[in-house]
Amino acid sequence: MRLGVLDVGSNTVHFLVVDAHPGAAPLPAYSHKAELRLAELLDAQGAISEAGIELLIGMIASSIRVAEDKGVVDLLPFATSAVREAANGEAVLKRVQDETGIELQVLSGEEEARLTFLAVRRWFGWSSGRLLDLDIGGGSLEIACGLDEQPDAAFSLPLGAGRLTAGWLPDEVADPERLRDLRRHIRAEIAGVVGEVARLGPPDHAVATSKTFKQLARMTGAAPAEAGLLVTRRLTRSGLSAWVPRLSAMTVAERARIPGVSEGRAKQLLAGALVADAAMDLFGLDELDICPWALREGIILRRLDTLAAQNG
Amino acid sequence: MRRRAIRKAAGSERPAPLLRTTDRLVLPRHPALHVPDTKVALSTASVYPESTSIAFELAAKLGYDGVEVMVWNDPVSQDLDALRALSDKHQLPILAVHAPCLLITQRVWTTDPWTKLVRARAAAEKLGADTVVVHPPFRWQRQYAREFVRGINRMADETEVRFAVENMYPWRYRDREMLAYAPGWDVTDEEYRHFTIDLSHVSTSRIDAFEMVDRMGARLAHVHLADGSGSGKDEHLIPGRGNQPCAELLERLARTGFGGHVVLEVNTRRSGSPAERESDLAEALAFTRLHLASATRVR
Repeated sequence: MRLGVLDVGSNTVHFLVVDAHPGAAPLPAYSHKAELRLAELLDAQGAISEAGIELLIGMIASSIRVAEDKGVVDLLPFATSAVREAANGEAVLKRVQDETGIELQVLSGEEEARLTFLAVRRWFGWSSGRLLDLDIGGGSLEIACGLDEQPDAAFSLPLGAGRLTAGWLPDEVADPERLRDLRRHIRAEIAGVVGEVARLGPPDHAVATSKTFKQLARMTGAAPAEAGLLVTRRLTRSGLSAWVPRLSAMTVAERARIPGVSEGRAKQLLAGALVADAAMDLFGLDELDICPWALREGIILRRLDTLAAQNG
Repeated sequence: MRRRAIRKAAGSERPAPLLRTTDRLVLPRHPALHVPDTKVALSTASVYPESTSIAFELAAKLGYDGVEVMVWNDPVSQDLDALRALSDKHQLPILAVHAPCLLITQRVWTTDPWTKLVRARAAAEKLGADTVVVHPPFRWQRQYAREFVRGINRMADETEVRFAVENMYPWRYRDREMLAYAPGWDVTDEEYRHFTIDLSHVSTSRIDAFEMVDRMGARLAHVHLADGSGSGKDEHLIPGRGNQPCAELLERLARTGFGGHVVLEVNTRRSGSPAERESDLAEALAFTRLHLASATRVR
């Protein structure tokens, strides 16, 4: 069965065509994506601008065409932080539905964390014991921890790399004062939930998902995307903390020259590194294994589970 | 990968924003063993006291993928036409050039350190090598040391050739330590664009190889493979004969899709005879090929 997952994220709108069956690992077949960076296209009132809405509708319309071309039988359209937190989120959803017929499901931050956790659990399996997953999106940081397929604790904090960059680090080179304020802000937010996670006991396996974590791992020497999904990629705290002061002093253009950093992401890289560094420090994690599956896979897996339950 | 732009008509006079999408057919991959494209080369210094031309001959005979030329007192190593002729004769590419910045090569080519680098870059470009190996300046080369980081990055801006700055070590005599390099022997303290890691130097420095590799991150561009047993001397043993994590480093390079070259820079002065030198260099290559691969599924 061919499923199409339409993921309206804060950085990227990604339409992924996947061959999926209950009991099988979802196999990606075709990818269609656009970097719209909705979290950065907000106007003064915190609403997604008209230009942003038009781009979004255009992207959804082209995704529907791809879905038809590729023989997709079931569409799973969802949106996360950018639409969830936009001042005009409701109006955007209505426009999308009126013009394309697509009803975007808006996930809450906690649902996002839970579905990502499900994907991480299925990827690493039960041998991981108590799992902790961190995910730095464009709009929010998701944290989930637990022993089962459903996490025992799941949090979403407004610490997405795109959001923080737009709000705190808009310049070519970061202002040291602002940087320190931002660092304090990030650490205060994360510290607020550390206790809730710590009371569950220390994790047996700490994992990271998201493009931001993948790029940070690549920057510190992990395998590039071409090496495939099955190679182990790891982000170490020592590797990351050596990079934070370096990134702080670099211009956006210089960051874009680091191997593995895409031009579109270079601007957000510093904020993402600050969040990752703070989270590893405050949760006491020396290393994080990168998991290639995340929210999209979680949504597919949950869909397959409900199909199996209906047919069984 | 295919990019396409779709313009959607909206409103009347104002053009709709341009939508750029990226499309990709995702193909499944099923390799059980991952062998990177990394080339394994022989440094011409590895046959010392034999000559540069013997190094080419041995590298070709033993099946190395290429050669790193150590520019030093051997006149052939300083002569681009002679090097080109050797490369053609043995059908062996020159993958890297080691600039003459050793203590014993202070007078090779020229005494001016910047001119040495300019010539090394020109040599690399002319010979088709993509990497120039450079040591940090000696502390007494004051002017050069002061301008080194900025200067080398500026030179890197002007060429496709990578200047890979090599980690060195503190010099020791009995219980005394001397800091011979400036900026220091630990090159990861500076903002170089590319690094060479040398495991024999790591051993002499008495530091952890993987911590240094971590700090180098994706800027690790070139590897000098040799072993060390932690003595105060820079040993350059055949890999596997000391206590450095040579095998583990190679496996990690395979796992991470390393894009640079691995160069055997070993000491065969005490090999005894030409036959034993040949067998040592064959062993070094076999060791490297064996470990420069990783299972795709292991953690």
